[in-house]
Amino acid sequence: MPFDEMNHDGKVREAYAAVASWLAANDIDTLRERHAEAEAIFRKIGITFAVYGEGGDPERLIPFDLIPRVFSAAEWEIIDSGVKQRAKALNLFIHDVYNDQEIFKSGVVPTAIITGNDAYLSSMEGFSPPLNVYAHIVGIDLVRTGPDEFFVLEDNARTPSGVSYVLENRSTMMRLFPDLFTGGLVRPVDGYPDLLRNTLSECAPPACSGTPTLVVMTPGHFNSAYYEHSFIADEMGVNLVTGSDLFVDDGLVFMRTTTGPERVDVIYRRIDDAFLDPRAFRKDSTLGVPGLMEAYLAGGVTLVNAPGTGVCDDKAIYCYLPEIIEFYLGEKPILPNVPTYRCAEPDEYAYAMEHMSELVFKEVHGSGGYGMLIGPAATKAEIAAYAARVKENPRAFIAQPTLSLSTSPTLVEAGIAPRHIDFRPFALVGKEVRLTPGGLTRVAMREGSLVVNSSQGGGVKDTWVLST
Amino acid sequence: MLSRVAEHLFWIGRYVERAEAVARMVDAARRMTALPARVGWEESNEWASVLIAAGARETFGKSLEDVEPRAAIHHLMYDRSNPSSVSSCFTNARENGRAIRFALTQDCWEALNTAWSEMRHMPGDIAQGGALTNLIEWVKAKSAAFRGTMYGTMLRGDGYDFLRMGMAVERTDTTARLLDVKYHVLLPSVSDIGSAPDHYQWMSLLQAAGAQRAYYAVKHADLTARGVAEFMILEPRFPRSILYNLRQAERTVMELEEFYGQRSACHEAVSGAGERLENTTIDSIMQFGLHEFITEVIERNNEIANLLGETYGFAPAVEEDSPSEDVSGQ
Repeated sequence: MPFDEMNHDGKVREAYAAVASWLAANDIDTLRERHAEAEAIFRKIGITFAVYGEGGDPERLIPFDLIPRVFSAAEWEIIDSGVKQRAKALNLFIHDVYNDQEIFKSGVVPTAIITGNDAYLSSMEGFSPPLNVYAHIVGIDLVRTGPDEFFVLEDNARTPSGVSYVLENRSTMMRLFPDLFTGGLVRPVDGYPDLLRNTLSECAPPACSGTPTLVVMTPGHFNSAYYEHSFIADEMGVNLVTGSDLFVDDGLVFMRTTTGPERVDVIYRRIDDAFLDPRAFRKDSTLGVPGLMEAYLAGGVTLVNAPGTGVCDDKAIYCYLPEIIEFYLGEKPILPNVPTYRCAEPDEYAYAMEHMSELVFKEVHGSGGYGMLIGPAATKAEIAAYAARVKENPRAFIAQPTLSLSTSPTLVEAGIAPRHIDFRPFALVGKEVRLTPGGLTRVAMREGSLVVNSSQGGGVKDTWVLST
Repeated sequence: MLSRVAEHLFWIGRYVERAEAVARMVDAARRMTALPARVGWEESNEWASVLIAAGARETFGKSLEDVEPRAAIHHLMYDRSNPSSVSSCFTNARENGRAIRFALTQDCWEALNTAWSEMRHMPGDIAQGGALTNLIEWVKAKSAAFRGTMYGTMLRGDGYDFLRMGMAVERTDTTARLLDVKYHVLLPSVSDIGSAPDHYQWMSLLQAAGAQRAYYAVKHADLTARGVAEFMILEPRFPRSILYNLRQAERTVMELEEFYGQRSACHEAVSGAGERLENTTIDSIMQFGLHEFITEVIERNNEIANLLGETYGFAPAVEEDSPSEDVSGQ
């Protein structure tokens, strides 16, 4: 039996006392009605993720589950310190990779993991961004297997998404069930936009004097996370721009406004490196701004996250994160990794291939739950087909034991039933590392499923961090 | 404000008005084809004339010789291959809104989103008889709902002005086009001008513009071709008249100038156009030629829109469906 976050050893865990009495006071029909209300709110506000080109509804709702996921204050302290530690180490690592490369010289991490990495940008070599921060916004995916067992599943240091759901889920819960939040039991999450604005402002470029002008940059409203882009910009009270709104002049970046060009100092860009600047990267990109990279490297503008941060978050680097934390911070990791077999290493490869039906295989450069093999759930034919792919290029794969992910009570068709969940808190890195008490809890809506990605039918829950 | 945001707002205003105008044109054709006086000249071509006036001649793709009403209605109301169909207008208005989601109030956004979503879930071919009347009323209600939320909830500032500018520009254009429907509807012979069918066709136009009672209230006189044209072009109090909307555009341009403390390049064009109309009479318009006059109004109106875009940094104009092209046909 997997660990259930609410019901453990035949008792309701202490942190869930309020949720339990709330559930006792609301029957299933009431919950379903409220759930329909919540969906209507999401639909009306337009909180959707866009899926174009697959047919069907181009704008879909992410299933929202009413039953909150709860962390006690003590649990949160562990997560908070562990995530901050990891975000710091990731930034120190990226700086080292693009500058002195001490970690390679010392032999702690093999240079090979960088040389074959598409996310490595040679144009970043020798460059130090403001405050030496590269990954300003980091999403760390965590899973839990027992009362005290947390593991890091993945680091997201490029353009992690999901924070709009953290805020909207809470605001919807507060609208539907105001009584739940009286008395200050749950720590608020709505400080996030302020924290983000402060973080971005702290990282203003050398060329900026005075109050920095911030913008959020989106690839456009066909992007699946467009709602989030516009939401974040609005919450911070800054402009949401597309590439065509910006231009570079004499090493500085400007946006086109109805009163003429206006200087831009910090760009929180939600667009991949490859599309940022057709002059520096993909020439066919119409989403970017010609000359942006040059302006960045000359200190005319700050890009958030920095280009090239992807070197730290693929699954080949992930395996070395415990060593990386220890190397830069002299500390043991507060949140451990999931044990990982690197198919690039002959011994580990041999073990992984012998135990395919017990392991989860992932592509080193993959994301979003695509291209995975979940051994225990796969047919013999699926395993054989996947094995052929791994044999062809072992370096491109890792394998991990299937963890018994914790479950949380979830409202499903049959009533309230346990479903597997994970958790993504968001760290903001500026002069200091800041964390909003909460994050995105994703839930696999199908019984027994371990895949929580929204692209694969996963849902979300409000996440509570208790104040005491 | 970002220039792109201003541009999206301008186009939301245009598309919402255009959806309503296309529905009103369909309404005019529907009324004309239902006229009892039509007996004896069944060969008339109301649907072809509406397709031309709505700028949909190209996209309709079929000969206008013998237009099947069902096909015309489908193309004007539902067909996404027609960029000015009601369905396209509501979709475009909503896409423009989504691109600047938070420059609109929640209520304005919901009005756009609801129109789009309801239209999407409609069966595509209910547009006959009573169902068509209901559909036309529904379009007018959705357009009114957007205007209502806009007046009721938006901050009075540059964003509001760009929306209103789009609306005024579009109304000038569509009232001109609505009048042109009559031009394109051929009467059986010249001697029929001033006849019963002619009279009823003018009345249909007036009704489609929702102006029948207003007409009598202002004119205290019988309905005449000259009277209807005068009312729809020159009546300063009628909110769909060309003069009213040119003056509205002028007021809005001046508000923008005040807001930005900067003169706008379209100032001369917009006040010139209004002035020219104020100094003319329906007789001299008729003498010049109603169709020719309308073509000129549409061209000047486009010029105003282009200069507005130039002043506030809209992307260089890509004429989606240049109206003058279609209107000058026949």
